[in-house]
Amino acid sequence: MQHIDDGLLNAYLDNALDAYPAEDARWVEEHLPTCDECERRLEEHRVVRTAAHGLFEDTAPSGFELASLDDLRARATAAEAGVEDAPPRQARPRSAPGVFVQLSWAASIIVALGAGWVARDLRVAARPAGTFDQLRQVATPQEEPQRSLIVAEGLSSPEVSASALGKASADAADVVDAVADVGAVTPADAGRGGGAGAREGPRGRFCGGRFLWGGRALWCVS
Amino acid sequence: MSTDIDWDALYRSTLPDLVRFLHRKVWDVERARDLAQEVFVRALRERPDQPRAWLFTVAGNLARDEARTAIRRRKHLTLLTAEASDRVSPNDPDRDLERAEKVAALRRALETLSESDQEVLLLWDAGHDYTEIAATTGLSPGAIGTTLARARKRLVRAHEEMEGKDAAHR
Repeated sequence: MQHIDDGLLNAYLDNALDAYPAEDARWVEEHLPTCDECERRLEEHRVVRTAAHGLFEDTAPSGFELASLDDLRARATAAEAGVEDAPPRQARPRSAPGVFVQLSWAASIIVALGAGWVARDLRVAARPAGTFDQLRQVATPQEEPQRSLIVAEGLSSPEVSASALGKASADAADVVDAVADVGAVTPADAGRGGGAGAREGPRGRFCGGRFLWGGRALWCVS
Repeated sequence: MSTDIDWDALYRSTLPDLVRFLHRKVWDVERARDLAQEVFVRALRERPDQPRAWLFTVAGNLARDEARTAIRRRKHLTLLTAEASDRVSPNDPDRDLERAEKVAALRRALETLSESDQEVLLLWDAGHDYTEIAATTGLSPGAIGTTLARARKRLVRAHEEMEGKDAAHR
């Protein structure tokens, strides 16, 4: 004797036989009252179904509030228009303490730069002199001479200490103090310290991409 | 795109089911509610022809995306769950604890099922009929009864086994 399968028994319990072919539904309706085995199995499935339903019911979410449909419509319209849900950020007024801190930093940086400027002049003035050719020899290996910052303290004087130059090439800070692009500054240039197109300040002046201070080429940037 | 759908009626009849469905996936009432509303907002924009099936399909996809980031947010979710419980009944901690234990037991039992069985079971719990479950999952309508029979049996058995283990530990 053929019995009803588990799927059809559960469809019967769920009142979902209409999802099956009509002949299947009819056969279940006709067979069940005549088959004790299928009736027994149907009860087993009913118990399991009730237990599963109870597990879900006991833990069903509750106590939550839902937005109105009008609210959701407004969100949908806003999303279509490309409007963000979040309110636009407003610029905060800058507080007085914040401005004070920034000014303090600016003042500190200015003081530090000034002190460094004075200290550098003193150091360079105390350095022994070497020849201009030795100076060029140190500077030539530099790959980007035009970006270098130079001080040509010794350029107006033909005597520069070779040992001082060696030390300068090894020490990055001293390289800045020595020479990077001697080819761009000649002793004659430094000595002249001017020419056509030169701009003069109280003591220093710009000339051909070089800044000249008291007759000395201090740096050259191009 | 459909124009003759009664969205008010659909909203009233479907959104609670959608929250219920999503709650079994993200296990956080507030998050489930937010996701359900987000899905509905999308439906209002897309206006699908079969909105109920569409809503649950998109909800399932969003829940899957949530699951991918669940590890990162696990701690946060735990906190949210605690907050949600507080909001529901702040004066009844015993009831909250009992409910939390039931939710945890159901979650563990559900996790023993295959993803397909879970999906069919959750859609049935959310009030879908066999045709809707078939439309949402891609299964044939004739396979839904068989899948449900198997999934219910496994769920109840897994839950009973966990209850037995918990009772033995007490």
